[in-house]
Amino acid sequence: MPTPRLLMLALVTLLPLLSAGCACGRVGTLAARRTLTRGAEVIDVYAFGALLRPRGADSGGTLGWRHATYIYPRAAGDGAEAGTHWTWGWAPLPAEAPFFLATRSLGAEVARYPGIVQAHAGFRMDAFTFAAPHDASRSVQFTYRDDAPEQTFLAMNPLPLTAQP
Amino acid sequence: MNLPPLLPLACAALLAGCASPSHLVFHQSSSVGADASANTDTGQVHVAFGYDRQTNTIIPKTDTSNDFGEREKEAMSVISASEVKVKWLGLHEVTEQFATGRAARNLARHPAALGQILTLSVPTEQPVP
Repeated sequence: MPTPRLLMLALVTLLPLLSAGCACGRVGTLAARRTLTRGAEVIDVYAFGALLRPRGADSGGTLGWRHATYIYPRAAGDGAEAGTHWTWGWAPLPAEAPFFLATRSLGAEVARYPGIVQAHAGFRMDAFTFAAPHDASRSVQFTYRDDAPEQTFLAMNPLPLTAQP
Repeated sequence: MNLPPLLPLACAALLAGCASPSHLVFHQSSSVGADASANTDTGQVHVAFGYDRQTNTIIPKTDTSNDFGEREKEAMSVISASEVKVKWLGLHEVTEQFATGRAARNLARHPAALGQILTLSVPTEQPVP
């Protein structure tokens, strides 16, 4: 059983985090950076405090700091120009599942990803590429740099499905 | 070492949602601290204290037929090459090229074309939308 002193220590540690802010889903004390490149839409979400994610590819909860990167294939000719745009207080995440997801969190976290559930205290980084459904035939070329999201490249079926000898 | 009594219950709860994977998934992770994770498809549990790093690929099964025309489940066809650069504990750069399903099987028949997948190169030209 945890001692009262341990409980008090935990409370003193958690209180600043809880008072710092909270977020539920796409709304709360968070900032999001949306970067459009040719072929991909990159959304970085920075959050701090008590964070709850009731649904999505990374559902769960975090107490602490979290930076998540969601990358979606971008439809050709969607009309939007390449560039970077910040939003405060909400994250413009599409409803569909991302092609690529990277998360970095410091604190305590419980998360459920497709195929994996995890709980941790400390620092953790995860990167998932949801490459293809089990019955899909596709070829994909993808590159992403953490410090240069505008250079993200995502092209599906860039190679011939039937190779020429 | 006495484990907290809630740990087995937590592990059981983590395994409650076991199901077949629907997607091919490439996964990298790094952790420092106390960490527990479970694969919901296989039920495999992983517990780590301190530093840990993992690289996993989850390959789903797909419907195929054998030489006798009988339907059976087999791991899906995949050809892939990946390069992941990690700076300190964080992700720095990811480059991946892969083909799945019929595209992978077609490419496997032509070694020259296969080289396009297995030779990783950072694209210098953006695709025209």
